Parts: sequence; structure tokens; C-alpha cells
Amino acid sequence: MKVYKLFIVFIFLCFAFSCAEDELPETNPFVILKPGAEYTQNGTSVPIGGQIKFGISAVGDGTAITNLTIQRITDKEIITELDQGMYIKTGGLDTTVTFVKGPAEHETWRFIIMNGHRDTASVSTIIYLGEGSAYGEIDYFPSIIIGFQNNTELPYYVDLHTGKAYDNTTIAGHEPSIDLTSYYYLSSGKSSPTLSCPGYETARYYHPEISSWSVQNSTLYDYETTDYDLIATEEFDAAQNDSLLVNAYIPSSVSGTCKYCYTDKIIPFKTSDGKYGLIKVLHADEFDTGYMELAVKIQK
Amino acid sequence: MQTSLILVTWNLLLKFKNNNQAMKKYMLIIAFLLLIFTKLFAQSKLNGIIYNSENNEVVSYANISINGQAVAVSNEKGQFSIENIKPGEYSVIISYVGYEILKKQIDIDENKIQNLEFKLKPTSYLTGEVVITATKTENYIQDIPVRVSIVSSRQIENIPAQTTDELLSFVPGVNVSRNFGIFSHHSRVTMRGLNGQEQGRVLVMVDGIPTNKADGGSVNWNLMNTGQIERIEVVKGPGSSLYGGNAMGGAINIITKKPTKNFQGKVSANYGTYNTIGGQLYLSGKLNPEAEKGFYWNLNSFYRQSDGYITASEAEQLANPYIAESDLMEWGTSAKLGYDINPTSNIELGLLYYDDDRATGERVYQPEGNNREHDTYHLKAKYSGNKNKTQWNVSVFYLNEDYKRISEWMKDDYTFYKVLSNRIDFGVLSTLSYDLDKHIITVGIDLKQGSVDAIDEYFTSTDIVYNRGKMNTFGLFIQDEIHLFDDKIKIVAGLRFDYANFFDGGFEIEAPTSETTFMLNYHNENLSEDNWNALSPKLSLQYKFNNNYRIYVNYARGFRPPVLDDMCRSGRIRGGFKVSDPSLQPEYLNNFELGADTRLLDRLRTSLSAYYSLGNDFMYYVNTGDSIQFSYGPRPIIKASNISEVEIYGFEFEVNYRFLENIILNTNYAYAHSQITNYEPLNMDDPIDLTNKYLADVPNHMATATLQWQNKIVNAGITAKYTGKRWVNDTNQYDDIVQDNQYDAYTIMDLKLSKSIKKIFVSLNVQNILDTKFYNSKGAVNPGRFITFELGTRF
Repeated sequence: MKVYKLFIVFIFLCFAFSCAEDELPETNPFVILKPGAEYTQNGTSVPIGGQIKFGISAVGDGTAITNLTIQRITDKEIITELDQGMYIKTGGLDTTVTFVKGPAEHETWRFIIMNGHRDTASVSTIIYLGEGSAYGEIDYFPSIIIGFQNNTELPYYVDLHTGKAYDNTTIAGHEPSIDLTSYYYLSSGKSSPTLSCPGYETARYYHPEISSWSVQNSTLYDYETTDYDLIATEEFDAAQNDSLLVNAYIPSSVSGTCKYCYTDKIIPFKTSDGKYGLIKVLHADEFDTGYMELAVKIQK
Repeated sequence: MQTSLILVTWNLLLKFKNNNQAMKKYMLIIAFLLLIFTKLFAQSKLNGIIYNSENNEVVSYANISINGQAVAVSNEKGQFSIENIKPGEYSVIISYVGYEILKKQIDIDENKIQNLEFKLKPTSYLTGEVVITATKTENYIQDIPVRVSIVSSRQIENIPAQTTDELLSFVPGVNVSRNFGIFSHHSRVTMRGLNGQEQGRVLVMVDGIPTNKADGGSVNWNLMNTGQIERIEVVKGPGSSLYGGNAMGGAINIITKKPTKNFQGKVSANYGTYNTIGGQLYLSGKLNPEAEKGFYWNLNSFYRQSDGYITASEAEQLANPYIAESDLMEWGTSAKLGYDINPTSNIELGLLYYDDDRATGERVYQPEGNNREHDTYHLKAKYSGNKNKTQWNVSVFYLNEDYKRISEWMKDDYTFYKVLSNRIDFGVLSTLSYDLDKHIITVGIDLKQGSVDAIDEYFTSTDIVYNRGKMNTFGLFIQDEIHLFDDKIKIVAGLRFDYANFFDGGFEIEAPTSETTFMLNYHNENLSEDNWNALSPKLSLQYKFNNNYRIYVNYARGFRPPVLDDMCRSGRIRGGFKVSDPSLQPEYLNNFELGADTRLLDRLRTSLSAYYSLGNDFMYYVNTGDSIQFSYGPRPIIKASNISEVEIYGFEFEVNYRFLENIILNTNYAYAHSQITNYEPLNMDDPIDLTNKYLADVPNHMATATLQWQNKIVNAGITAKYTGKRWVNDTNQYDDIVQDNQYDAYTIMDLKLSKSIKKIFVSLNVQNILDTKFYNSKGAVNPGRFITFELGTRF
């Protein structure tokens, strides 16, 4: 009978030692805004349309920093300007971000970091509205033509800052300046001419040569404004400075890919170097050997 | 000596606490200690050898029972040995498929080793196996007016399969979806034209205990190691009149081994493709095998790890720098402890523990990348018996699964979250049968509860999503088996009533960001309670012309209950945003079947079944007409709804031919036609119309052939399996990843060679000899040719 007693003990211990769940210890991450003349400091007045620049430094207290959230808080609303997942395990977070001053008399900017244990830390600063307006000039490229993935005649890659398009034979040396590419596919059965960027995984699926580029820029497209046609083509045509470009962009609904870019869609975007812009779709085929024709307005 | 053994074992066990890897190694050591320890009981008394009476060839794997208790199985040489038998007179029964049952009275003399020969006469009917699943009473297959298939111990030994579900893929009409071989974190076994992606339409049991989870209807096939299986019974067509929910398309019962000897065991190690390393240990024992009363036990453990392979397509690998191998680690232990109260009744306790870690092919920052774990334990107890024409069986079970999924990816930014889901199913099942000469009346009551309590916890944003729900089910059934005209006619009539209520449901979102804000409208701490009921009748009739020919007709109604995942969980799924619906009702299938079995030649058996099924209230994910804005733009809101009627018909044809005693050929072909006949959209603006569309993932044509050849040089099992074209999705639309609206047909051939030299055995298992590639709807590919070498010993 002792065999069976031992056997039962053995089974019991198997259960007992197998069910332990890891508990995460509490940690204290830390975040500060960098001092220095190049950054917008607490209490500064900035005119509407003027650039706001913050330097952020943070540590995760022994565990990776996994999120940075930046909120613009006014008397009327809280706008999440950035909600970015990340995984910075060593050295901490050291980054610079730029935004544009809105119309509110004062804006509280809150910077929140979270680490891998879901512990958070935050820091805030106040920026006041300065006199006048600082909306700036824009560049306008009335016609940029790019082909979809199986188009063998047209270029695929666009530098939105210059409006120039490149194909695989002319791209050499220009890879770090490419902001936009495109492809066509059926998304859950629905036809989708699609804009994307080198930093987005699916773009590399359709344009595999991007995988070898040392710099793969990520442009963010505002899909909510696009899907719900929040900007009219007439507004795009009328834009003479970057006011519309900055204000059309809804930071909480952005992605590196923008589906269903049919003719006459207006697509707000922000490049990886912080330039705001608008794309107007002049033409979009709905087959993978077709092309798109775009008009682009972008901050100088 | 015993004290020191315990101390050594105890010290080893203490080390488990700090080192999980060590635990796996020490388990083997402990098992060997147990082996030595138990060996003290060993003695021998009766040796037997079983022959075919017509050609004097030995009969392997025959079942031997004494006084109603299964005690042994003959080995490859037809031999068996039973130890520690008290002097006296015994009734020995020897049975094996294809032979008439041999009953013989023997006398055992004191202190003598008796050597006996037994000669089995081939039956005029080749399916002589006794099964219990079809009626909950013991019947020969040919006495059951429904199609039942068996995966026998001999097939388990010879068929080149790594997992339990793969064994079932050779059963006519059974469709097994295991796209990535051993690397699949889930597999589904369906049959007879039902959607290949939905396990909830086929009931899967282990020793009569249901294993489909109430949360999703799914079954974790990975935890069922083949080393513990005696045989598998497959009952096709609705079995809800006995088993209730899930048994809509059929019922699969995996029967585990029962110890028959004082001590026996098997230990083996294997190595295979992708640096796959594994080991198995099976130990069993029975104290005082000759006694009517006494304890028996067994222990089955297995371990497997593999470096895995990359499932992603080449294009995806180029696009995604984080693609990684889908590796795996899994181990499991099951144990059974039983007590024979007398020759016809016993009590059994069963335990199972299983843990796995399967990567799913992408690794960004987390050490193990995207992966899934199933930390599972099952507890079971059974009391069954037979006295004065009354049989009873009462089972209690508690199944717990802690499912953990780690998801991480880099798209616009880095996303990392964990899903932790606790799924519990427990209940009491009871059956009572009474033999009234021409009637066997069976009644039973089942009580079950299933629950889920899950959390999605994000680590790259603040979001946490909770969902929970419970469902109680009460079932009551009655069945009458009527035998008329010397058993030429058999009628089985049954009826079951099930009532269930959903309660304690909730779907909550905490600290939402853009990851989950769109779900806020569905935040509900107290989902409304709901209930449903189902009535499942059955009527079948069989006529046996003689022992070589029979026909049967059968009508049965089955149902699939709604799953908790659809009743209390909202979230993204492919194609849109799924919202929960606590008011979901069961779906039903009315099945009409006609079958015939014949023996055309001395060694040739054929069987044919044709069926016609009408399904109603089938559950589908359908558009509500609303849309929701989440990443990449607006997506339709969809929910599981009882909206469709389906028509399924098909047939199965099976031919078994025994060339010689040691060469058996099994072939079968199955055809299935599954179509939605009526689709009622929830919203008239829904652009999708499923009317006349075909059910997804159902092959129209399936065919298999298995050849088992046992000989002195090497035992061989060769299989070929053809899977016809299948529709990729319910809408039968072109899929941009598959680049077609149907998957291509493919053929897989497998081979197993094995050889025993005294107590040592070796085997070579080659799956997918032709290295056939096939892809799933995400473009992921199967592992290709997979070779495993195994070395072990039996004792």
C-alpha cells in the first residue's frame, strides 16, 4: 500500500508545484522634461500654429518602459496627442517630440510613462497662448503618380517633402527620404487602394525590397478623417497655409496604412520628421496593376 | 529500504519547487523507483498463446478477460501472461475484431505455471468489437443501428501518428484540422460535412467524460497522449439523445487503458525533425490480479520539445523582421487509481496535468515571443457496476484550464498584451440501465457547469478588458433498446431534454485607450441572464439478415449549445468587431441515415452509410448593420446569431480486407455536400447573403488507405490520405491570401516501421513522405516531411 501513498503524494506535489503564478513586484518608473533653450519650457507663451518642442527623459526602474502617452489638456477637452507602445529595456527613454500650439489660452501638457509592470509616472507643463499667428507656408505638389505592386511601369515610392517618385531603378540613395508607398488588395473582400509607408509591415509584404533599406520611415495617416470624409476637397484646394494641415489631423486615429483611398478622399498625415500634410486622391484604380494619382500639400 | 526510497524521492520532489526543468527529469527517476518498488509483487501463473483456428497463425492484440474483468492483451506473437491467480475455476473470454468470442472454463492449480493454447474462429462478420459509446450499454458493433467506427489498439500501435486526433483522420468521414502537426496549438476533429473550424459540433469524451469546454466548445487534443489510449470509439451522427450538447455531429470517446497485470510498463525516447526531442513513460500495476477485489493504478507521462520551424510564407518573412520559429515545449502526466469492489463493479479516480508552451511564429521583444500556454488539470471519479440485470455508472469531473496567450507585434508602434483565461467545467453524470429480457431501459441525469473568467491585460497601454460568464446545464434522458425475433430486429428509441441557463456574465473595460475605446459601448458589468432548452429524440431500426448482412435506418436530432465566448465576450475578430449576445440559442441538426454492412468474401468486409441532414438555427457571425471605428478604419459590428438553415448530405464507403492474418488493408471514401439553404440577415442592408453558399473548410471528397503488415522482420504501417478542395470562408469569396476561394486538394502519405527485439523496440515514423505543402487562410504552411525515431523498452 505504501507504493500508492507515495504515488498520491507524487501526483499532489506535481499539482502543487505547477500552479504557481508569477507575481510582478511594484516598481517606480520616473519621467522628466529636459531643460534647455531648444525645448519649450513651462510657462512659455506660443502663438497659435507655433511649434512646441519637448525633450523627454524617463527610466523604468529596472524594467522596460512600454508606453509613452502625451495629452494636451485644455478647459474644454483632453486630447491624446501620442499614445505609443514601446519596449525600452536599457538606457531609458530619451526622445524629442514636436507639436503645434492650438487656440486654447493655456494648455497643460501631461507626459505619462508606463513600464512592463504597468506602473506609471507622469510630469506636466503649461504652455500659454501667445499673440498673433504662426501658421506657416506649405509646399503643393498637384500631381504625383505611383503604381500599385504589380504595375511594372510606374514608380512606387514618394518623398512627400519634394513630391518626387522613384522606382526600383532610381531609388538608390533616396531610401531615407521615402515617406509613402501604395498597394492594392482585397481587405476582407472589400476593394482597397491603400496608402502606406516603408516602416509598415504590410508595405514590405507588397514591396519586399524595402526590407533591405537601412531607413524605413513611418508616416502616420489619419484614417478617421479619411473614412468619414471630414475634410472636403474644396477645403483642400483652398488651403494656403498649414492651418488646415495641422488641425485636420486627429492623432488618436492614425496608422501607418490607410485603406479605401478612393478618388476624392482627403487624407491627413504626419511624416516621421513631424511635418503635417494632406493628400487628395485624384485617381485610384481598383486592381493591383493599376495606379494612384495624388495631390499633396505639406508643411515647408 | 522502503524508507530510504521515500526519502530519496522526497528530496527529489523538494527540488521541483525551484526548478521546473529538473522536475521533468526527476519524474523519470521517480517512475523507475516506483518500478523497482512495485516489482516486489510480481509472480506468474498462466501463460497463453492465441491462434487463428483456420490457419494457425497467431492472433495479436486479442483481449483476454477472466470472470468478466479485462486482464490482458496478447502481444505481437499472440502470447499473454497472467500472474498471481488463485487456484480455482475461471471463465476465460478472449475476443478480437474479426473473430468469434471464445469462452472457456479453465482450472488453475496451485503453484503451477499453466501453458494453454486458445484457437479463435474467424467470424462471419468482421466487426465483432464491443463498444459502449453508442448506447451507453455494451453492444457489439453489428448490433447497433448507427455507424460506429473503432480505432483499435492495433491501429494505434501501427498507424504513423503523433497525436490522438491524427489517429482519427483515418476514420471514414472524419475531418481533422491540424495544420502544423505537433506545433498546432489547437486541432479540430469534425465529421460528416460540418464546418472544419468548429469543434463544438462534435462531442469528445475521455472515458465518458466530456472535454469540450463551455467557453468555446473546443477541445485540447494536445493533452491526450496516445500512450494512455486503449481504443477510440467514434459514433457518427447526432448523439444528443444520450449526451446532450456538442454531440450534434457525432461523439468520440477515448477509452484509456486499464491495468491488467501485477506490473508492466513502457519507457521510450524519441528524436525527430526540427530537433524534436521527447520521451514517454507508461507504468501500470494491479495488486493481486487474481483477486476479485483490489487496487490497480497506472501512470502515463510524456515530454516533448522542439525548435520548430517558420510557418510564415517567404513574402511575410521578408516583410516582417520579427518572424520566428514556432517552437514548442509540452509535458503531461495522467494517473489512474482504481479499486475493483467485485468482478463487476469498481471505483476509479483519475488525474491529469498538462502544460505546454507553443510559440506562434513572431518574436519582437518578449523572450518567447507570441505564444500560447494551456496549464490544465483534470480530476475525475467514477463508480460503475453491474448486478442483477442492473448496470450503473456515476461520474464526477472537474476540468480546469488556465489559458495564457502572449501577443506582441510591431506595426505603427509596439503592442504587447496577455490574455489570461480561466475555464472550468465540472459536473455529475449518471446512467442506470435495466435489462428486461427484450428491452434494455437506460435512464440518466447529467448536471454540468461551465464557466470562463478572462482578462486581457495590455502592457503597452493602460487597457484591461474583463469578461466572464457561467452556464448551468441539466439533462435528463431515457432510452429503450428493443430486441426482437432472435435479435434479427433491433430498435433503439431515445429522448433527452436539456435545460441551461446563462448567468453571472460581464464584459468590462478598465482604463481604455485607443486600443479598446471603441468597445466602451459594450461595457456591461451585469449581462442579462438567459436560458434555453433542447429536446433530442432518436429512433433507429436494424435488420440482420444473418451474421454477414445487416441494414439499418436511423433518425436522430442533435444540438450544439451556444458558447460562453459568444455570450459574454466582445472583441476584434477577423472581419470585424464581435459583440456578445447572451440570448443565443442552440443550433440543431436533424439527421436521417441509412446504412448497410456486408461480408462479400471470406476476408472482405464493406460498409456503406448514407445520410441526409437538415440544420436549423445554425450559428453564424453576421453583420448587425452598424460599424465601429478601430485601427485601420470602420469595421462592421458582427455577432453570433441563429440565422441559417443548412442542408448536408453525403455517404461513406469503407472496405476492409485481411489478405493474411498479418496484413490488413483498410480503405474508405467519404463524400459530403454542405450548403446553406436559407440565410436571414439581421439587417436588410447587410451586403452579405450566405444563401446557397457552402460551409467552409469541409472537403467534398476524402479518402484514406491504411495497410498494416506485421511480420518477423519489421512491422509496417503505410497510410495515404486524400483531402479534397475546401471553401476558405463562409461567403465563398476570393481570399487574397489563399488567392482563390478554395484550398487546393492534397494527398499525404505516411509510413511507420517498428521492430521489437525481446523487450527493446525501435520505430521509425515518417509523416508526409512526399513533403506535400499546404497553406491555411493566413498563408502559413505545414511542417512538411516529419521524421521521428523512437527507442524504448517494455517490461
